[in-house]
Amino acid sequence: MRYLALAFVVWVSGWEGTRSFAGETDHWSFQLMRRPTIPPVADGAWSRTAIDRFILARLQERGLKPAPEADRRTLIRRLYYDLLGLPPEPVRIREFLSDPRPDAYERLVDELLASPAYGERWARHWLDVVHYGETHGYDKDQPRPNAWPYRDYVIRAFNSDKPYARFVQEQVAGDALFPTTRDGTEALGFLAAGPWDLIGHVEVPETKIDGKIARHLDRDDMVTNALGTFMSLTVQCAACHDHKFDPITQKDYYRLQAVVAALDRADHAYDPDSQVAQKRRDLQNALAEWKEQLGQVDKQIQSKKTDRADLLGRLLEDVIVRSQHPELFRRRADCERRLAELAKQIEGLPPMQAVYICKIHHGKGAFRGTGPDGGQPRPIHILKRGDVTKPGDPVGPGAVESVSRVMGVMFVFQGGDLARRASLAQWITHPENPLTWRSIVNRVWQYHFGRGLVETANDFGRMGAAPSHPELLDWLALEFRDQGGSLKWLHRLIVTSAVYRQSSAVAPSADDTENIWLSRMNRRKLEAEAIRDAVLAVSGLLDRTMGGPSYRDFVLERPEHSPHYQYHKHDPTDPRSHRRAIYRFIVRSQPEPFLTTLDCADPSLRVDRRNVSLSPVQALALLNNGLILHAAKSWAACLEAATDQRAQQVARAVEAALGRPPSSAELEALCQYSAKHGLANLCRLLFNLNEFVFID
Amino acid sequence: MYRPMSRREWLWHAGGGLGGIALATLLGRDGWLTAAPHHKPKAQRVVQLFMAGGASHVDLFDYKPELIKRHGQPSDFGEPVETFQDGLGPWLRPVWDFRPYGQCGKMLAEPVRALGQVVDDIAFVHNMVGKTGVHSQGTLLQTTGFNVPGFPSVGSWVSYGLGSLSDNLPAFVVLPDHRGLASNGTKNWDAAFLPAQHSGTLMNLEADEPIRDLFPHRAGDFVRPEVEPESHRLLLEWNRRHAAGRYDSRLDARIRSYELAARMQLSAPEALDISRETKMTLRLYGLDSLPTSWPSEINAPEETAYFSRKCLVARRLLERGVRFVQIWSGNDNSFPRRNWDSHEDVARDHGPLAEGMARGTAALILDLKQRGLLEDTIILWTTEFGRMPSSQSGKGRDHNPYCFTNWLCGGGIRGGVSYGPSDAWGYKPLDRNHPTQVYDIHATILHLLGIDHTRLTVRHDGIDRRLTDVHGRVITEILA
Repeated sequence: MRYLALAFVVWVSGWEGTRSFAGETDHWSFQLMRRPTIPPVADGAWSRTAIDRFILARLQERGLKPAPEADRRTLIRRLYYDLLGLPPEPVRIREFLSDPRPDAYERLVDELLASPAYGERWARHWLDVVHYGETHGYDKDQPRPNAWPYRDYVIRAFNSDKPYARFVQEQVAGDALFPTTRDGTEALGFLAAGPWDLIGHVEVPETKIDGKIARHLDRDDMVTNALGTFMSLTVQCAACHDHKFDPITQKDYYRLQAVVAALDRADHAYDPDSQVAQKRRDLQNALAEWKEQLGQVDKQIQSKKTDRADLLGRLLEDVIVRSQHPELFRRRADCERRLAELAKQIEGLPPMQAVYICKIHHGKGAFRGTGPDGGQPRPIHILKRGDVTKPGDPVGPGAVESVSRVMGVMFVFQGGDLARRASLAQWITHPENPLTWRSIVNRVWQYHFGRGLVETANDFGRMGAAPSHPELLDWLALEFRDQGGSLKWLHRLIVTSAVYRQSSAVAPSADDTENIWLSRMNRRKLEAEAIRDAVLAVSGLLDRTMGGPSYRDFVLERPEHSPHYQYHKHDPTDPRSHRRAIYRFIVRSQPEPFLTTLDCADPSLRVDRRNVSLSPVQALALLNNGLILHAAKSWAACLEAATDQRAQQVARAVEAALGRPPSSAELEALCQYSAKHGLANLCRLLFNLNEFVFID
Repeated sequence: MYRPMSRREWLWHAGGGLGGIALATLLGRDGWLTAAPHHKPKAQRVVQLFMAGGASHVDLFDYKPELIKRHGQPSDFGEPVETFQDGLGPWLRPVWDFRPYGQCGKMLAEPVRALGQVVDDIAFVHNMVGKTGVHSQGTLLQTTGFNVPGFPSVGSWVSYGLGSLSDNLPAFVVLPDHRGLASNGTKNWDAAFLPAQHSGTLMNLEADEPIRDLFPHRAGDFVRPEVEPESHRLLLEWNRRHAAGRYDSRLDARIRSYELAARMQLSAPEALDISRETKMTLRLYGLDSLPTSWPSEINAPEETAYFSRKCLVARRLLERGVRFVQIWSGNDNSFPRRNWDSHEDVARDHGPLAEGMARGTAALILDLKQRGLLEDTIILWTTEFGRMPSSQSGKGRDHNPYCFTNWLCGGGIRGGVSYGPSDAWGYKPLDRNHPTQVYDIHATILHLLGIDHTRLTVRHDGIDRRLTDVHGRVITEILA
């Protein structure tokens, strides 16, 4: 099998193939963060935060001026979609417009950050990055009905403003570091989030080449996901040889594989209620104790007996011992009674729930996992050219050595599965890790502005982009770290800045057509989920129930072999499918066509930034999709029920959809149109406006 | 310190000054290389025929007299062999007889005899090798060049590189087997990290609604056809007013996308409607007198109807400017089999599927030829992997990723040749040091389209990605 060389080979035109970057950490992202001085800039009146001074300094260097502040109507709409992914209700807009307090804006920001909808919105960004899906992908794409607790964990983590280090640690090693917590279990859905080759695991044992490839790819996915998500490193490029551009050796890569080498992806039973979990642990401990006592009593009874072999003799002896040592038999009965009681109590606990995570798997047949062998990590070798049939030297667990050297901290990776992952989690979240803190503040910045300070949020290596504002990046990373890793603190800092509050409706400067220096705000095209949620919200259909199993907007046919996910057979009027899109059951092989057309993230890809495309197919989807048309129809019915004045119906519809009242000319045109064609057609029209899908 | 990404990449991602970029580009009408291909192209269009499940080369195209001679003897490969399901039974002769066809005298099996009419236009490649015998990975490898999900389909790369030849139809169209999707589903025609409009557009010819959302869903009974002109006019006015003073050409592009959508509503149904084809054409494809119902067992006339209809529609789409058509055969991934994964009985599944495929494909080639389109249209016949020369459960065969057949035709391909022989059993390439891989096939196709496969790249997650990864050789031996 010479042709097994895996896909992760880097090739660049003209590459000579001799130079190694293994020891070179002079690239910006591998250097320790340095706290810059906040630039002293003129026009201090404009600057509201330190961020503004960093941005303004660069603008001034280039002779650029910031754009004027956007009006309140624009700002509230921007904030709602950015922080919640939902439109502001007209009444809230009016309140904000007339709020005389000087800190009205800051109050609005606080209010939105406290809304549970914030976690739903930002969890979706996170799930893009970690390529979360609810089917396995590959052949026979089977459902993962128990993946959702991880999704709920992420929402909860954002809403509770979980310190970022803890958030990372739980996802890598929650079972090792926080073993008695619900979050410590559910967070492990991170490692299992990506696709999984069912056939390569369940039908092919590890002893076969195809089975080895499947497991190699499985570990590769875990390692790629962990280092890519948390540190914006492309360690997967070192599977076949040392990384061609970054100081990551092939040995580093396989050491990382060794960290996760005991794991497989599978359902895991647990108690989401920590009190129940504690109770179950207590009961099980008690059960074990009483079992041991019973064993001891039995041993004592046995010791009183001789070795009579015949049945009659044994029975006779039983009677004799019983009469000579009644206390032993009382104790024995007591043990049995206690055991039965405990068993009953355990049975009486609420049923355990399942979550799909990475764990030591106790399986049978081809998919046996490492459990039957005591959960020992599989031996990992450096694979020559990534070929499973060409194992080289064995390697133990570890991380990227060049980064450890920069941090000046030698981490000890040893022991079994838990210890290995705990070390990795601590290594990633070490205060001096040069990548982790920069990576997360850059991601957050990108979602607020449409572009990161580093454009390639998943790649901080030499093939990625360099930061446009390196000092600001470091300042944010250090402040964020030192503030305890509070994401809400970071959001608040960013959205209250003068940079963020700029207008987007200004002519681009010839010196900054791509707006790298942020001389205006970027206009945002709403993401697929935000469009769908907004349509449901304004039409009054949105079901705000949080959490739990995902809604399915398909009909599942022939699940016994290769399930068919039949979206066209789903009834769009079914209210069970009118929850926020974050609660959608995400199929890998057959993604939902409507949202896919609108550029939603592909759950097979680790998406750091979504494509923003425009196509006739998108136009058709928004014009003709069943959900859109159903929403238009029921929204029209609501408007008609509220008032029979056509002008009022139209004005209310426009204000709900666009966040502003119609001009008198617009009102007249729309009234005429709806008089002729009905209000439902008008509602459909509003969903299709540029003004509806773009946020200034 | 700042080093920008490519301008184009950035334009796709964020708002603001889009001065200089044509709306047509924004909407995918033009490809990356439309204006300046790497060299003069021989071909403009591609049809990819994909046999899902793994079509047997030794029973269809790769004639092995040695297997007939040794039929029933214990198989011996001269080395240890690992198969997907341990299908290492006795040697199994081709389940059909072979006969020579055309000037070139190519030996073809009975069920694919229809291809005998066009065999002098076909170049066979008999030394294809894959990476694994797992369906999902085998399929992805042939459709995207990688055996893990997350990479653009060859059709998406062609769409990205060359764009559409039409304003009214997408550049990349997929005609699925209506009974299901292949392993990995839509990943096989996905744009992955390329802009979304380069994904294949699914047109399911046997469905009530072949193109999703082309017309209002039944939930929208209030959208009557007479509403639409006024809706579009109002939308246009409102969007124009909104775009003024916002300096954002994406807003203009989106306005234009609604005009194109309206045109697609007219042109797509017309492209799919074969009712106005002449009787002669329908007869050519075997679609002239179809029964109203089919038997429950798999049968050749029914398979012919399904496959031929896709071939005929493909021709109509190509004529109307579609760049790349992907046609699937056999995606009923369960029992009884309607796919090429013949572990139990090659004759039972391969027979009807091959008859249908050969009839439709031969008709397509002849039809394109008589219209002068074959000379710049490439047809590629491919599959996940081949099947073993040894038997499995008596009449079936296990997966053979070590050797299988592809063939190409038209668009600058030299006809009547068989390149890269396999060994005496069709177990591995005769020259094991020089096999052909999917990269070579893709490099050859891109070459004929005027694209240097090493230079069509997109940076993604730190790597300049290519369709052909770090591999690929243009197979000059099969070029005209």
